[in-house]
Amino acid sequence: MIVAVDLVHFYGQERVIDGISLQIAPGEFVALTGESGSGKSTLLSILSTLLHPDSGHIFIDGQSMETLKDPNRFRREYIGFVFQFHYLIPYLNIRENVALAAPKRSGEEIMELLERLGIGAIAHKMADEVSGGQRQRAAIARAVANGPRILFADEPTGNLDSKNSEKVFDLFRKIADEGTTLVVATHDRRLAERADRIIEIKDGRLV
Amino acid sequence: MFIHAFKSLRANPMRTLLVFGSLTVSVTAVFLINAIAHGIVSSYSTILRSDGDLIVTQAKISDTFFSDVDTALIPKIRKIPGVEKVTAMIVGASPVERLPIVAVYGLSPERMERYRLLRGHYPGPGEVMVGRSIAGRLPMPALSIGDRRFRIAGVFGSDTGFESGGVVLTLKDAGTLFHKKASMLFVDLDGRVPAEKVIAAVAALSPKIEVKSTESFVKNYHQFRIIETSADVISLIALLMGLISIASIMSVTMLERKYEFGILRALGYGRGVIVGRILLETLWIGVAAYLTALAAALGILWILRRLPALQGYVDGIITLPMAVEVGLAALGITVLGAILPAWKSSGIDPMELITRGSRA
Repeated sequence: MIVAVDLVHFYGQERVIDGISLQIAPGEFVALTGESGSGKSTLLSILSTLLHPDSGHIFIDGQSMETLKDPNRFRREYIGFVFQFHYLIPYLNIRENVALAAPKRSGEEIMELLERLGIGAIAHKMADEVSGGQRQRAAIARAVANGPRILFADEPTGNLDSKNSEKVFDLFRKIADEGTTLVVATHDRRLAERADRIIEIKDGRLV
Repeated sequence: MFIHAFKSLRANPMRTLLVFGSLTVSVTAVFLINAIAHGIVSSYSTILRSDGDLIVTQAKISDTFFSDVDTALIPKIRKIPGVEKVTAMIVGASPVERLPIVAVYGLSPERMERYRLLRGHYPGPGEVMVGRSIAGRLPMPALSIGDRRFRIAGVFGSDTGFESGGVVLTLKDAGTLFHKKASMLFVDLDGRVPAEKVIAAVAALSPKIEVKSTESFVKNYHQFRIIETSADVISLIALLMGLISIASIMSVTMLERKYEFGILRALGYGRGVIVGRILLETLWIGVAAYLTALAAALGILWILRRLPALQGYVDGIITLPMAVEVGLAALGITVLGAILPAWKSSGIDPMELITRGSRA
């Protein structure tokens, strides 16, 4: 369960998150929608502990994010994040990029995961040697490699064509159906409708 | 992690080359400065240590070159209980033929035999023995030292650069050249009387002399300390320049790699792990640069030793303790140069790192 209470965040003088409170149930697939600049990516970053809010509180499974003793360990064990731009490490191949998120997993387990996501054949290629769709699937593989309880994705289809976007959302649906909580920020209303719930944001506030 | 570090270095050849280059140049400079300084100190102290337990010089002089000791003291010193042998030496420098400066040693007959005769015989009055390093550059069979002509009696070899690049003549001839009796007297002890007692007895012979044990003389010789301190200061500057170069290259690199650090932080890697990864990368470079610098310094010293123009005087020596010290200093500046920018760059929120990094 994710509970956010009265979140506020500024970029300089601009109040980009303006008192947002929300709850997301375990295993729920939630789509955050809104126009560009509405604050959905910032909210996603805050909920995923990648950004500290200027004020407000977040509790994940009852734990306050402000009093976490080891936020890195929490991130490693609880959270996966898919970025809009895949952000694969350029000097590592696809398999090494994915293994980076789950150092305790064996090489076979990583290969199995890549096969499951349909990118086993490109495991030894570098990020700049594969297509955009394959890169994004590799980024998803990296995000789920550590078996997170919550998966966050920021515009994961922003740079993909409609066919690849569908495939990514099919994959998310499957991940959600397996019990992972999923929070996806997207401006694509058609894809958002495949989530269990849509949360719309405008000017840093829930609509 | 080791393989990742290596891959990262290979992926950024320009950055790797710049850090490697900066470090190699400064470490080579440090090696050369210290090796040459050490060579100078070692050469001269070897000459001083070669004979005698005590050294007698003129009192209150800053350099042995200016010392003038009366050789009339020699028979008096020989009579002191505990003294086995007394020899004398004049140390000077003079133009010799076309060579602008050559070390000139005037020796009492007993000291001559320490020099390895390669051909000819030891010099008598009006004769000179020339060192191997300069023999090929001097005319045969006679040469001029200052305004005097000497017949070349032989050629000698020595492991000390200052000697093999110099000339040896009798104490009397050197005395005429430099207008003095002796620069130093060397006193050998027979071990039956404590050295302190002999020192006191010799010192009591004349208020114009100063007597020290050879070890104490070498250790406290002012010129050595000036050379060593200068070498340390120049080395420090070279190291600081290396440190600044590495830190500036690493700062720019860290800016480029912020998003990578952001990703690692997002994946749950702590700041320490990220700094550790960067350290590992720079340590790879540090070790490679150190080994290259060591090889380069040894090569340059080998060339300098053989350059005819230097007459064998630049006889740099890299000792094991020096190699270890410079190695530690090199690794130290590598770590410092990398750790500060890496620590600074990896400390903010992952998402800020990613967005700032992708803008960079």
